[in-house]
Amino acid sequence: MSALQPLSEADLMQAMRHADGELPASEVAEFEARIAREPLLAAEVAAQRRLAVMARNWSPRDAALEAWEARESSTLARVLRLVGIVVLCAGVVVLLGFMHFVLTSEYSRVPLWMAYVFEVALVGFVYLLWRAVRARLATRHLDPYRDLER
Amino acid sequence: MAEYIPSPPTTDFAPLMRAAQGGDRDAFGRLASQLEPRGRTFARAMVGSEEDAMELTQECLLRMWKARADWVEARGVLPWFHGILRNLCISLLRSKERVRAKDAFRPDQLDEEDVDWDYVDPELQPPEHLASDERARLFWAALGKLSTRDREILALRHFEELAYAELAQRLRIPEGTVMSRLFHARRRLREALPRELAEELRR
Repeated sequence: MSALQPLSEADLMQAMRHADGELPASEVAEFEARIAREPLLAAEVAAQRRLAVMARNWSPRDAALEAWEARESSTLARVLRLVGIVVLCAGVVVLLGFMHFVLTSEYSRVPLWMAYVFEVALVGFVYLLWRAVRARLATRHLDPYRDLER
Repeated sequence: MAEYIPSPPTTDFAPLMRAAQGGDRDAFGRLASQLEPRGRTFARAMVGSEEDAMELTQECLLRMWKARADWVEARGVLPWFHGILRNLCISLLRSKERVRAKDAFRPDQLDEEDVDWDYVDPELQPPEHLASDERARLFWAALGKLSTRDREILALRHFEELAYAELAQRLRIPEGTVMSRLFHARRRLREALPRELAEELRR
């Protein structure tokens, strides 16, 4: 075939398979020799590859999000998350104890009744939070997606 | 533009599905977490909305879990997953009257899976993370002009990066038909591309 003869449909199909890495190994050497001789064929293979790169670059897959999800679902990430929650809970308990000590100590300038109001409000907040969590756990069996773990 | 290197073949999901069939929820959870991004990607290309894609993928996984006893290993996991998801996508598009049957569709004579559909609303927006990319917008607008069948095979090949053998298995068609369908879908996509992107391909 002459170097500038228009490509047949069979040539175009082979160019696509070559660009996709789907040409049988036995045909690759011969086809690459043709690419070296025929600029139109070489241009077609290059165009097919560019189209594939375009589609890959503009895919709905959000690479950053996928990488984040993969990191978060690893065992190490789960263990670290658990450690974080435990440390946070321990910190809240210590902080509450310290606050109680400071507010009710003889050196405190906050009136005692105000200290108790503050603590009761905080306990109320924790109680409401606990109720919300319990309600979620109690109704979990009604969640249509409960069997799916993402 | 970066060099194009085709992706390696995808993982075998059958062991996880077998375990799920035996009632192992963790195994199904792991399977679902691997299928979910693929499903979302495919459904996004088919229905054009992130929210719908996410809903449809979740619905598909839920149906798989409920029907896990009916799964047959010879059928493969991905083709089964894809078949359910594709039908969900088409059902949604039909319920919203966003597609019409290409050519003469006679429901009494044709298997619905063989029907090709034209989109009524060809305007297709790029995914959110590409919203500010003008060239991505042009690419997605061109993709929006194609039929469901063309979009399906292009999404599976270019977004999920499946090999021809995987495409054949997934679409339940011979590899020769995959090549022909992919070839024509790509040609139509290239014809639908605006001049600036078409010129980029020729550079």
